[in-house]
Amino acid sequence: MHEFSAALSIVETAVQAAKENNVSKVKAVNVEVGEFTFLVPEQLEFNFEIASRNSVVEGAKLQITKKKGALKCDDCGFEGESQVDTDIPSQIAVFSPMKCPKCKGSSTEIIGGKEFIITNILAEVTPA
Amino acid sequence: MSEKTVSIDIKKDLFGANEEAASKNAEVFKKHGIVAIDIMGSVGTGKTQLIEALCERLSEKYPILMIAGDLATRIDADRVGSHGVDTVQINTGTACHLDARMIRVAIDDTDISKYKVVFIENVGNLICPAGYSLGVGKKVVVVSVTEGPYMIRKHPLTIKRSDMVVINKIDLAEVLDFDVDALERDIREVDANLPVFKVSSKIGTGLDKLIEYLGL
Ligand SMILES: Nc1nc2c(ncn2[C@@H]2O[C@H](COP(=O)(O)OP(=O)(O)OP(=O)(O)O)[C@@H](O)[C@H]2O)c(=O)[nH]1
Ligand SMILES: [Mg+2]
Ligand SMILES: [Zn+2]
Repeated sequence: MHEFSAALSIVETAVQAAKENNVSKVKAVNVEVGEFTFLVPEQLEFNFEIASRNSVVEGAKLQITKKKGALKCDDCGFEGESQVDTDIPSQIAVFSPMKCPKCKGSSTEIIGGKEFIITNILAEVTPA
Repeated sequence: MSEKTVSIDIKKDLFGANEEAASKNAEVFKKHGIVAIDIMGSVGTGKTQLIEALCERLSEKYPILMIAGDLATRIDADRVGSHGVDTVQINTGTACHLDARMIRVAIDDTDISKYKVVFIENVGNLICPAGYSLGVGKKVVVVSVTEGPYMIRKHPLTIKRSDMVVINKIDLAEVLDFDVDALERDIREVDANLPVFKVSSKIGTGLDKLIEYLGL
């Protein structure tokens, strides 16, 4: 259940930004979550709601943009987005995002999709 | 007074603080020539048993520190401590994984320069610890034949993001009618190049190879 500490880090960062900018209410928080993190968006949303209680972020919408994973293949030299192959049987489909989309090998290295970034917040500010 | 809605840019990497602490840990380990290993895996796969077996074979040769992450008890640290190695206990409370800052605290609490090998037992959990760097040389996933045949399929990303896999309790494979080779094939599906070691931490099978690979 690392989503709670992850959600807490979102809230803390948003609260800090709100403080620095005279924010009276945060309406939305935008984050990017990579495919190859262990963060589940639904659980992140749920935990965000709890973690934001009694803060200036309470009631804000957490908007999650999922980022595709990226791979580098040692066999054929492919570098780029990972893909899910819909042709393969479901019991081995779990492996497909980590396989090379070009040669189907598994000599791959994860080069993208591990991000967890808070990009910006949408907030109501009171003009000084 | 009228309020208006604005966008406030932040662009902060929320894994950044952990990654930074991890690279500081890595620097400390490097400076003292320490081989540091993060051992993770589900509850009961034999993480402690593996560390005990390794300590039994290595404690004469190297000064060893074991850092034990556990929700609340000292049991694992005490088990390993009985082999004559020093231990630090990190009680993680409700946290489901160790993070680099906890390791930093453990490092600061000891005279780390005394040690040549540091074994870190992560919290029993096959998911969360895989996402947090600690600054170690190698992240080892321990799976075992008692968790059933689908562990790799259920947790491919954990395997992919590790540096090596230990399949433990192979002494039980026959009686449980467990196909160790099939499990290894699944690991190969996830990563063709990941080192895999089949061991029994209990009776010692396969440990020499593992120790050699770790350069110890
Ligand atoms: N037969 C056999 N039993 C083993 C082996 N390795 C561990 N065990 C047993 O499996 C049980 C769990 O081992 P531990 O080392 O405590 O497992 P762990 O992963 O540290 O467990 P947690 O710290 O609770 O997550 C113990 O009863 C061990 O004796 C092995 O190679 N063979
Ligand atoms: Mg243990
Ligand atoms: Zn390829």
